[in-house]
Amino acid sequence: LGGADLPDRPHLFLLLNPVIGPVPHWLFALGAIEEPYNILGNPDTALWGPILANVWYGVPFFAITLLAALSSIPAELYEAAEIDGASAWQSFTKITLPFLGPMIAITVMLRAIWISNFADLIYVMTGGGPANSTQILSSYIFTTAFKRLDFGHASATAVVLLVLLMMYAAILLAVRARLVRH
Amino acid sequence: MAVGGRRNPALTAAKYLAIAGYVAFALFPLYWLVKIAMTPNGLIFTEGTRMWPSATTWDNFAAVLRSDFLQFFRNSVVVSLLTAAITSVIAAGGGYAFSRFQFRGKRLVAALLLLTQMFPVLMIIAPIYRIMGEIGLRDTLTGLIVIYTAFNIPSRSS
Repeated sequence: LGGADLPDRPHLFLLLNPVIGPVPHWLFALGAIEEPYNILGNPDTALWGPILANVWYGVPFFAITLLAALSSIPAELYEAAEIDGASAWQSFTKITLPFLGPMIAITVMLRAIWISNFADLIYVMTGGGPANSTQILSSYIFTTAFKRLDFGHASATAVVLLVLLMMYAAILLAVRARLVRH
Repeated sequence: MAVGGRRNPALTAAKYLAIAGYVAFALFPLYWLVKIAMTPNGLIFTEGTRMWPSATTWDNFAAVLRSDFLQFFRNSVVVSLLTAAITSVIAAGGGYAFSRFQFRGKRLVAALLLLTQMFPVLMIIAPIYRIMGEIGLRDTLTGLIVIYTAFNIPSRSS
């Protein structure tokens, strides 16, 4: 039953499968899709699966780092702002955000780098398919090296990925430096 | 903090609603895992999308205990505890040095730590496999601990 819907690899993304997961039926009930199909099986929608999984997986990391940054903001600043008649919105934009800014930049940088290298998730959820629609560089590197056994091509792609991420990190570190100065 | 929340009950309600929404989002996949674990094999597909199956079973958990689960779990405990302990000691020293001292090449070393995060670990599996074989640590928990420690120190000390 439903053999066509079930890929032959074990999955952690049972939720998105229309045979054993509820999400396609919810989307169908909401009118977002015409029938409860597997969104991972459609090249137009498949990318939302890994995005959703990475959001689910990443929220606690952001929460913990931002909580640490939040608790380092001196309470006197908020008291002073309140005495000066600042609204809640003003103390958020003028105190909280400037203090969190550098930490947000670092967290976004690290998390984006980790996700770019999170080949396992892509491999387990979609295997890069359908029709390469969910392939990211690191999962492409993995399939090239260990499925097609083309280590040269895979290593070259890994070097390119390394350069791209170095450029990205340089940009975010520059943004952070600006945020610290203000 | 939470200056506005205490005065306006509507804002307080919205805050708790948002928290409840996130908790549901965070816990639902775990709930689904438990649900599938307790569903009898015959019902997995026929009742796959129901919130709770019409019959439940502990057979799957009994099967887990009959397998080598305990040995696997012991390996996990040994590897993770020793890795965490060694990483903490070394990374704490590294982090202390980075935050307290000025020294030549500090920025370079910090950039190198970041660099280790930037390419897929998969690419160094093959070389690691060879190195571990040559120093006789292949197929040992010690080898695993050494590798995990080495991988974890950069992200922990920065």
